[in-house]
Amino acid sequence: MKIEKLSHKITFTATCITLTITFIFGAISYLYTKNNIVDQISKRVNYESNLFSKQTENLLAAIDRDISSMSKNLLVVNALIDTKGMELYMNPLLRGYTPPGDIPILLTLVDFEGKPVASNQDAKPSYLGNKKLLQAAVDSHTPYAEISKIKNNHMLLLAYPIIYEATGLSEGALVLETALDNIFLLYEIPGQFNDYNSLGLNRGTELLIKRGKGSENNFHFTNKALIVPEILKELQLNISYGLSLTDALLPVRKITYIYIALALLITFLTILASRLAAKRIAMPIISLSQMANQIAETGSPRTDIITNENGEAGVLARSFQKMLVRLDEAQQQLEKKVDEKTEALITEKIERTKTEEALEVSKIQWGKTFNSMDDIVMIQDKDLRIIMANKATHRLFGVAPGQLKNKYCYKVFQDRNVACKNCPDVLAIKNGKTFNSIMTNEKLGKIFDVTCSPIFDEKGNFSQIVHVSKDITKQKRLENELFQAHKMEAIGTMAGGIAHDYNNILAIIMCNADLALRQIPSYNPVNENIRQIFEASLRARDLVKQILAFSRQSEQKMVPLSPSTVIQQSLKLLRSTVPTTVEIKQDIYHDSCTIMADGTQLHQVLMNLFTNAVHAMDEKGTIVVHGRITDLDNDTVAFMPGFHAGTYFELSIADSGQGMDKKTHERIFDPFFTTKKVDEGTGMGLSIVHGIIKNHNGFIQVNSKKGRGTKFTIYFPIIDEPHAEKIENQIEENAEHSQSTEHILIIDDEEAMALAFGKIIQNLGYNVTVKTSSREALELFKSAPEAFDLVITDQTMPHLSGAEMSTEFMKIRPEVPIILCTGFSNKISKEQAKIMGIREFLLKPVDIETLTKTIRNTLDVSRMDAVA
Amino acid sequence: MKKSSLINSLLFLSLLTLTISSQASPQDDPVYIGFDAEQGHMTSTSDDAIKTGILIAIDEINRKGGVLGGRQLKLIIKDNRSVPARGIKNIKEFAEIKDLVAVIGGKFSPVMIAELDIIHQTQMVLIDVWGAADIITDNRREPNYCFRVSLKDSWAIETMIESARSRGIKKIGALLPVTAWGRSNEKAIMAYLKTHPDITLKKLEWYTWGEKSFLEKYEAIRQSAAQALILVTNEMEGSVVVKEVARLSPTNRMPIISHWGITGGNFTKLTGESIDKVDLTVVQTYSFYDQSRPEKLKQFYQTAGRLFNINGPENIPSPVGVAHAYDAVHILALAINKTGTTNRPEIREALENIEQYDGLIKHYSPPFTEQNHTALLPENLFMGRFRLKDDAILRIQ
Repeated sequence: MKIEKLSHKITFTATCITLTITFIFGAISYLYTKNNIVDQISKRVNYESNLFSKQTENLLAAIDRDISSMSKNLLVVNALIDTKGMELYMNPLLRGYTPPGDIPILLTLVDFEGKPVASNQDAKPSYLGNKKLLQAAVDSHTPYAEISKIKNNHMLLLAYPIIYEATGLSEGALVLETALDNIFLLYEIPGQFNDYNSLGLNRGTELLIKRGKGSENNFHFTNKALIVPEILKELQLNISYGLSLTDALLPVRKITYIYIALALLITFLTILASRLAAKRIAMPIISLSQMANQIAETGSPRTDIITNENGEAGVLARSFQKMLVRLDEAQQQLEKKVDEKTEALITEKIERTKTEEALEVSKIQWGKTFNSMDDIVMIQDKDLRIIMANKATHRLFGVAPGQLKNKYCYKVFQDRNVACKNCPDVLAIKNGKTFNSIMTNEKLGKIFDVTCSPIFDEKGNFSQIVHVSKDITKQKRLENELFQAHKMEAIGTMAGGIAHDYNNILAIIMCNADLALRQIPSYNPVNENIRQIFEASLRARDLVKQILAFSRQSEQKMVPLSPSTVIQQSLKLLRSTVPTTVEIKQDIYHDSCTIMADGTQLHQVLMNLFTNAVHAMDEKGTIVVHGRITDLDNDTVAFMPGFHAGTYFELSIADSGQGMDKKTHERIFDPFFTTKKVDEGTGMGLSIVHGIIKNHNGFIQVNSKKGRGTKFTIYFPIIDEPHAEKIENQIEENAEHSQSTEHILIIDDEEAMALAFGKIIQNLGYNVTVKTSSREALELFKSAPEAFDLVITDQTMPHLSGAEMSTEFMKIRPEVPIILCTGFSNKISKEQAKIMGIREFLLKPVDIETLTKTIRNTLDVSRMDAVA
Repeated sequence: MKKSSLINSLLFLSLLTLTISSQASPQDDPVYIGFDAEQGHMTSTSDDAIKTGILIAIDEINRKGGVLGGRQLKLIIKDNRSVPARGIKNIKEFAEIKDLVAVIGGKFSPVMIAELDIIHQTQMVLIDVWGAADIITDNRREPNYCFRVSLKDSWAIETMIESARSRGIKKIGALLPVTAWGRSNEKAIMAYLKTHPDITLKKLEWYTWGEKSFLEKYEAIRQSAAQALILVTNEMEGSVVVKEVARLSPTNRMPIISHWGITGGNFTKLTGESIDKVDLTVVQTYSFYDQSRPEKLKQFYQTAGRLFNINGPENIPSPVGVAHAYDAVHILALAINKTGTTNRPEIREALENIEQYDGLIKHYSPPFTEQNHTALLPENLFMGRFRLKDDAILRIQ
């Protein structure tokens, strides 16, 4: 082979290859670039139209969200029914609203006639008189949207109904008005829109607004329907966006020309370069070929030639051979070491993972245990600083976890600056062993059982202290209540037993004293001695009765009754016995609740409590009586031994007296315990109250503080439905007595009888006028016939008999109710009296019960007649 | 539904009456009274109560020969749904009706306050029988076309706080609506406190109509150391307060002393048994249970029994509305007869010059004067308590 021939071939081949590659590369590049640009334009159009759509959708959605939400704001609804509140809060509310993107809007609250009543600015709305808007938002209660052209501007109108919950109807609308340009104003970025692009907002196919000047010729266009809130859906809003392709492909054309020129230049340079390179490449190859021919011709095996060759190739072959052997050995050693190391690491990792898991489980378990304890548990340092506290502790103080850290125990618990005296924490630190103490926390109003134990490190040195406080307040209170209950029970049993024996003894003493009094003449001084024995015995008998009442062995008549009625009757009677310097306030709940009780005993309870209250107030102050039905839950009855949760009648009597100290408080129900002077009281009053309440299955509580008065609260169980019939009767009967406020005229010629009658009837609560002369009575009646609700007259009287006088009365006032009383009269019978129009006829002697009922019935019948 | 059909029937009857009357002689033409109230308000019974009182009085007057020498009184009802804008429209429409002499107002003070301008522009006589805001009659207009047979907020507040004081309560809290009525009560409370320094207002909370829970506001008032809650609500909001308070433990339930807005609906039905767990008292002006004026009551029941089968106090919801409206119409009839015309300015003047009227609630002597357009007096007010079984309101002794 000649050198020239090889060189030409190389040059030709290189030129051909270069030209082919350049052409193919150029063609591919052109097509690729063009497609790429078109694709990019398409993507850009899609991307940017998405961007514009999204921005528009977001803006419209934000507006809808804001205004829709505002239309449901209770203050906005309130404003429609509070016209005068517009200036107060409605205009400020609307003016304080900042629309999304700060676009200028007119936001107006209109009433049901479309009249603006509040607005965010002073401008006049364009939609006044828009019937469609009112029809939709007010009549049909549906949101309404509209785009209208006003003075070359497309205006967007959104109206949201204001629903008034009390009527369930729309009473106005919240209306937003803004130019569509304001929404598209966001896209007015200088230079963004030009001759080569175009952005349009359309309603269906109608173009409303356009940005950019591009037309559809050689444009890549896309059209996108806007995803809008419900209110705007009917408007069918969409966005069209396009970019010019001519403009986009201009760089591709320019690059093509440059590329052709470059290809020609490369071809020329390739020819030159390949000529030179061919010569340089051919020479070593020819030499190598010759060398190869030489080896071929010598027939030496290739390895020998390489082994013996001192040239670069031989040296290189031998070095390669040695290196390969070493590398193989090293690789084997390395793999062995890696295997060993990997195995050791895996073992170690498994062990470590096991240990970490065990530790983690233990930590979680400890944490759960620590925090699940209801008692207060804290870890403290030697200075009593809290290092860690469980959840119960944080809950007690109402602070978030971690907030007690580093605070001093005594500061947190007692609000002190130094540790408490005999603090078990201090003792445990000092002595290195566990200490326990019962501590009362005045700040929290609780009692704690505190146990403190030191914690030592592995060297046996003190490191921390664990503090456990158990809240035993309820337990202590319950213990105290039970102690009191048992004490009262024991005293009651003992007193009852003694009282019975005393009764027997007293019966003998009184019987014999009475006999002796009858036998010993009064002038004999011994008579006086025995009389004193007899009187003392009477006092002793009363005392025994009280003891029996306390020990719940006295007689009682339990009947279903209305507590409020009985209490009111008692209060009426008590009013006359309580000094006028004591004010009685009452708020008694009137309802048909019923309890099983002995009315007389209830009266005694009130009387004893009032007596104590008056004494405690030194006869000057206020007693407040409050009665109501109340529900006692389990927490409340937990401190009321033997009581269950349920509905009770609660009666409270509170005085404004001096109150009691704790010692007195603890003993007030003890028999014969009194703070009064000798002879002022027996000390049995509250004991009897306690006995009676207990007998009624009730409960009595006392709240008192020195200088702040005393309040007794009594709970009676309310009985069930089966008693209803009896209950109603009872209530009616009681109700009759409670209405006793009418004015009654009493006429009897016997002064003593008239006064006695008057007093009895007055005690029943009526206003009474007593006359002993029938003439005077007639004159009085003539002067004020309407002043009397009832007349009670004796039959046998001088001048005018009861019957004659009644006739005169009825001439003046025909419907006047009259009761005629007589001892024995053959002049008038009950039937005759009825015919005359006299309502009732009573034969003397009249017992109080009959008199009470007859008066009440006559008055009620008379009132019913008047109404009918 | 039932309510709206009744209203439609009444409106139809009214229109029918108008049509017929246009063909009759002037002497046969009816004289109209308008009633502008919250007919469309779903929980209100106040509108029905007032309407009942008006119709009973109209029947009694018509049976005795009507007014102006034989002309019958007729009622025309318009629904304002408790919305002031509708009230204003109604007054304009009433003013256009020939021989319509006066309008009776409903429960909502804000409606009547908003109507004040149009009332005086159209010279329409307004008789308020429930709305309590002082400004309705104390409106500083000359001449004043607004009259009241009802209480005022200032009296109600005084009675409510005095009842608290009588129970030893010196620290109070108040819950008021963000409306003209609420502001009227706030003014009344502040005026009372100014003259009674021993009473302290510990906390004042405002609410808007339609709120669903008041517990947070109640707790804020309770924790301010208030001993009782002065409650100014209508039946809907009031019932929510009662139900929420009833769910609290007994120790956390303050006594609630309420304005009478809660009696404008069937309150015990809304509260259920919760009302028995709460210490609630409410201010009132009249109780059919009192039987204080038996003769007048007998006359009332005769007509009420015949027209509405009302024979006793247990069948009368929102009782003050019935009683006030009944007396108001009788007083109005006296004024119409006194003038001898249906001219409203003259009737307005005649109302100020009626010497006396022996009414159901009291003996009015006189009902109104030039200076005083309120027929009741502070001493007519008292506190009452609801009875669950029949929604009765009983006077606290």
